[in-house]
Amino acid sequence: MSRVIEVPSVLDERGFERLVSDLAEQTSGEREPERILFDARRVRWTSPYGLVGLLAVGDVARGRTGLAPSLSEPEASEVRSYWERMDFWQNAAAVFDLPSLSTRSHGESDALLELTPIRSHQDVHRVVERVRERAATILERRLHYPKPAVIQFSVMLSEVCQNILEHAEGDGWVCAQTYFWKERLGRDVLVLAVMDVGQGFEGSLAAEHARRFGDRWSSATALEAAFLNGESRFRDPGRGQGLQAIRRQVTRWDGEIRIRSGDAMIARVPEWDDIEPLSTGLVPFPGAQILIVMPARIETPVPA
Amino acid sequence: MRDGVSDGAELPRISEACLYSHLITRPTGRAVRMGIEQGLVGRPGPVLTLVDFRNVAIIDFSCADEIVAKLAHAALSCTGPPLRFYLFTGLEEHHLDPVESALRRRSLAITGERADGTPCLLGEADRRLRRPWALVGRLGRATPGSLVPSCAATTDDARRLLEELHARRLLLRLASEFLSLRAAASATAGGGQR
Repeated sequence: MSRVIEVPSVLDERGFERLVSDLAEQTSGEREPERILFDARRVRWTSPYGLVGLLAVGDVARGRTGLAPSLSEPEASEVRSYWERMDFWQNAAAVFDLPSLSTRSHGESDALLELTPIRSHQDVHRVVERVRERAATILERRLHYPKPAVIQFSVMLSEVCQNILEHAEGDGWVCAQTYFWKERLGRDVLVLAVMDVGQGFEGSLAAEHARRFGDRWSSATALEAAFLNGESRFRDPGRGQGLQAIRRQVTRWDGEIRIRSGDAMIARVPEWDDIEPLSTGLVPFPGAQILIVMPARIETPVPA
Repeated sequence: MRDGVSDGAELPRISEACLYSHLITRPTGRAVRMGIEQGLVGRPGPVLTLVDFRNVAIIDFSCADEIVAKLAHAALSCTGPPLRFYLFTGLEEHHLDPVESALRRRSLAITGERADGTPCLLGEADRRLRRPWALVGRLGRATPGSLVPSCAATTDDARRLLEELHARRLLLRLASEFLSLRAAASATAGGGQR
């Protein structure tokens, strides 16, 4: 017997929250562990965050039940094609119980960065090296960013991936893609999603900071300490600057960054979005899930 | 004797470190820093290390902390002989944010040079120190008296500022004079101590 969790038809940030909630429901209480089937047949659209999120939720399901979950393929050919191009199935094989992968290879992808596991600092080097040329093309030509943005983006990518290794004490994944964000912006955006299912900010910072906060210590206070004040799990004052630097850079680009960890989410919210800067009371989920959105620059017309 | 050097009468020996392309991740930064420090082991007397950034395509915040900030910190921690000085050269615009940020986290400052040779004082140093530092940079070398009245009201005040810059390894004291790190490097190259 399997329990079935239907993967939302729009697999984005909201779709991820639904998955997290459904998983919590299916694995709560003292039940006999049962295999979970993620039914993705009705998925019609997937964002990079949703795609990495599905892996993360699958990984947690595996941990909670002790059984590798199953996953049914999306029926929509464009969604199937996108998942293949983003190397989803290669990564999913380590999480889900999947049939043979022989038919799932693909040609050259147009993604900035396909779904890539981060297990070591060597992986961070590989990721930064891999995006270099593609980032130059995408950031300059499609998003109209100035030339130095390519280096700044690489630095951001390096720091956000190192965050997994330094704080999660577990593996993680990263992927990045550009697309036209019609509903919210009417502009092209670059979306970077980075996730892990490790100990999360609350766990990572607890030993060094929890006592100071007393009863107020929570996922939310841990996120505030790290994101706003540059606190880290280490006493070394040089640590903890990565996230703050990312926040500064995203702000310069009028972008958005959200970090979900535990039962809270903190965000740098640009004018073009209306999410809460701090959300609490979310369904608890391990690790940290980071979403960065960089919108295309609006070229200011030169006065005649 | 001050700082273990005969009244700062000794020109520093020069050491050179050329950094390479992708300086990302802490282990990379740590390895680079240890390589530089290893090269200084056993060198007697003051050493001025020229750290060349010309070939650094990218440096992230972690590496900036591991290399620049920790070298600067170690130079300050080393109060007895041999004194260590660092001049970071070939700095491009994209190096500045990570380097500045790493230094400010530790309340440190370094003497740098932009790729076109323009000197720059990066990190945490207030105007009181920046002015005499810039003036000595322009002159190459200066005595306390030459900073009056542009940077200080009295010679004693000027001496205190210059001593502070020397203590922070942003200038170098040589007998009764204070040298910019570039002037010290040039003097050493001319005088031939390597």
